[in-house]
Amino acid sequence: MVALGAETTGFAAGEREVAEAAPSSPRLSELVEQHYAFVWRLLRRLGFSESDSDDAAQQVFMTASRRIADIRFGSERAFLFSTAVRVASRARRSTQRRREVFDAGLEDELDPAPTGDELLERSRARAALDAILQEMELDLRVVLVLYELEELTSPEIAELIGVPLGTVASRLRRARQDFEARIARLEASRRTGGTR
Amino acid sequence: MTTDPTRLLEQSRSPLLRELLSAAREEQPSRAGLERTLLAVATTGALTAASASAAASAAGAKGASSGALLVAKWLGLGAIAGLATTTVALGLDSNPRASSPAASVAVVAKPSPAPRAVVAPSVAALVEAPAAPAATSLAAPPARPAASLARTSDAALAAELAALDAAKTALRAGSGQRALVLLRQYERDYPRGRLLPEALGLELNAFTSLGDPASARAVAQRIVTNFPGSPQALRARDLLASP
Repeated sequence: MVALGAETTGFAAGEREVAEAAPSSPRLSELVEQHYAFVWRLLRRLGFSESDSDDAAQQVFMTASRRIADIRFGSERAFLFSTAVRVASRARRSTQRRREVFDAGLEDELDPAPTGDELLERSRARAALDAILQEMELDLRVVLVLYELEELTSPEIAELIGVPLGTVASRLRRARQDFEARIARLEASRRTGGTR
Repeated sequence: MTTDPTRLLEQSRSPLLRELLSAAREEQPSRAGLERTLLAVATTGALTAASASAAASAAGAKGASSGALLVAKWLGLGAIAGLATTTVALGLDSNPRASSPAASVAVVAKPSPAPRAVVAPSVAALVEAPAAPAATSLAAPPARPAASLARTSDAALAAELAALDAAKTALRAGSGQRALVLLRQYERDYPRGRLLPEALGLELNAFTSLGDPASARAVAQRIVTNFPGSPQALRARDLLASP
């Protein structure tokens, strides 16, 4: 979009940049409205809480706004996807989240809700899912989320993440095996009273 | 040609697996979050423009007022239009789940004991915490009655948005002074407002439109100092780094 600091020798440069910035705005608004939900849900499944997903999604779209001129038409979702994954990876790297914390949290989340409140149940279910997803390899998790939750097709995923179709199929197979195994272990744990 | 396997939600016999996946599929972002992003994108777009003209102005050029016109024009075409859209036809409105009280509660209920926790700190803080109930901010976890707080916060956020809309309208009309008055009023009314970074971004634009690069830089410094992780800070730093 605009290379601030690249040309600041005279007003003409600034004027030109301002003029260039103008046409991108409607496209940006459209970008947000069309893809916000996708980006937000992706961030949620990549480990952000609801409120932090708001901030992280905003960060993703701010990045898009800075680079709007570089985003090819038709590739908007791919750009947003890769940016969201980068944001999530950076956040993940920046802190050490311990496995035992996950496990403890997961058990808490799966504790039967005493209130019977359906919204609370849903919230807990999502927290439990997220705890499981966080333990999976990022590559597998991403494919699983895109396929099982966003219901994209394999070709769509291949295009989105920029890998061959065969790689998507392979990752999806491994991701599903991993995910189902974790669910099975959790179910077994609950049956044996692991969660009260 | 490959055939995609049946999705787990449709084929799995595990009630737990189905419960978890269906809960996640139903989840939708809040309208408030979308609105804030639209506002941020619009503001940053304007900030970009403002930074460019301010930088040029600081370089000793003569055309600050011309730059101001361009900024104001841009705001009129883009930022305002973008904001107006949010109040009328948000993409999420078509989804009944998104407009449910529960959907809006979660984000709006985000406790804000300090000026809006901007992106970087809250993102970093997030991963340190264990999986928590989804409606709770991991960065600021005090237990509070979520539902009542949400309603209060929802109304407050709407009021904040309206206040900033008024300032934007003034900017669009070419009245930087009026915008500044409104923005200062906003700061008085919402000293810990959640849209404070956005308000400062507009203030920066207003000073730029008035051909006052020194004040614009002072505002940019406030943004960087008080909201170093905010999207607006990226642009503010660019402005401060320019000659």
